[in-house]
Amino acid sequence: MLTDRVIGDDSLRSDAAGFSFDLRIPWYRSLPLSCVEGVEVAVDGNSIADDDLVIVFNDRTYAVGDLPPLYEEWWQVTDAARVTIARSGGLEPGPHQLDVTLSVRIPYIIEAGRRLVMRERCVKTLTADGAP
Amino acid sequence: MSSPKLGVTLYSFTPDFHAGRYTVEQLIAKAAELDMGPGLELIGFQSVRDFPRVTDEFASRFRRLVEEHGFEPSCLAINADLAIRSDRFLTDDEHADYLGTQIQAAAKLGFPVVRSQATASPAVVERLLPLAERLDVRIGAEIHSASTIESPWVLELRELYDRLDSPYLGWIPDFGASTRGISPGVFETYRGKGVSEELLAAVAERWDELHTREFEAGEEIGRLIELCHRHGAGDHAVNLAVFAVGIHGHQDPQAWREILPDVVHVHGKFFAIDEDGRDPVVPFEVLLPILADGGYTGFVSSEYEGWHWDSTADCFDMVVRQQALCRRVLAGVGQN
Repeated sequence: MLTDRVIGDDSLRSDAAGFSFDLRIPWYRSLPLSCVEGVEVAVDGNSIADDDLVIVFNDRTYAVGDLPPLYEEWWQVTDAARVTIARSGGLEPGPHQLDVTLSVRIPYIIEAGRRLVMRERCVKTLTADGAP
Repeated sequence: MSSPKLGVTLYSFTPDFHAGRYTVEQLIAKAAELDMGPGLELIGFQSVRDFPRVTDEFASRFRRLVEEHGFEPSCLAINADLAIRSDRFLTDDEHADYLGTQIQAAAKLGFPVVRSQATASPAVVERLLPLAERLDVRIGAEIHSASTIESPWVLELRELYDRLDSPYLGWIPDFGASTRGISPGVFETYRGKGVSEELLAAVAERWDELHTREFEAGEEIGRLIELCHRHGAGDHAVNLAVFAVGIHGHQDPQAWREILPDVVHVHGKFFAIDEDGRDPVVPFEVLLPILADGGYTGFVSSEYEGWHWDSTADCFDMVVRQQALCRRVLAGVGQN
């Protein structure tokens, strides 16, 4: 059920530079940033390129590719990270479908020498702040 | 006859905590109000911000709360995060340091036991023993579905325990390892998501088949994921397979007797208690008498986990019902 929490309800915001939303851990506990193996985002059916996406954890901004070495930086289970997508002009007013797949490695589950990565896909239709 | 003591782990209320509906302080107060003690268990990396760092302020606040509400700290669940780095597994020394810090946190918070996991190898556990003795904190390796007391990692650890013969090393049976079948709620949930009756029947049949033989969990979860995909389960395939094979275990309840003298804590895992107060899959009426009969007087932490698929259940109510069931069973044991 925590899969439904990946995209924060009512968290979509848009401005002239792009749009952003809250991202939550779909798991019961805090994890280091090194365990975030992927964040895939599509809006209204269009995939966002990795280069256009950054995530703020603990007031610091990272590209997804920055995360693998960060095993001493933690994402607290009760904290939302903020995903920001660069897009000139932001989003049109009105509802938008967000389709987000967050892949997290569970660091204590190793089966037959293989690491376990959970891929949690959450799809929600949200309206950006200020839209009619 | 002496009897196990009841308690609760705050993990049971994960959906409420994760949603921000309750803080740890509020969960402890609520659990006290619902008489879920005396044992109180929590997961360090869930309930303690910035764990394994524990500030003096948090430790004194926690100890005060526990006392105020009449709880006894039973067990701190720690995590053996062997794969925390992306590039390689931790070395034994690194892993022992990682776990040692968490054992120190347990001592600081007043927990007499830590829950360790399968990924802490015998070499790592051996390195931790002097610290555990010095801090007077026992290390319990959790035997969780799909593991059994005969799993290779358990057998290796049993050898170490035999050699070191220390009261500071023991086991934590998780009752999800001894189930009668897959929870009815799993089928209801996935039926509601549009998964076919044919696939649900095939999943149930696979569980029954696995009940008759030894198997390697990772391999069988993989096979079941393939089966689910062949039936068009799509995004539901992995969770359905993990819920079916990963967390509904097959071990004969009687088998726990073999390791009972070294049991330091118990996870009273369950997935639902029905309207009549019965558990459809975890045989508490068999399991609890085995503990009592074996002289176990430690805690059984109620651990509700049906929220994985049932987003409508009231987690607090589920624990209340499960503890009523446990009390009924234990009262019956006392009369014999």
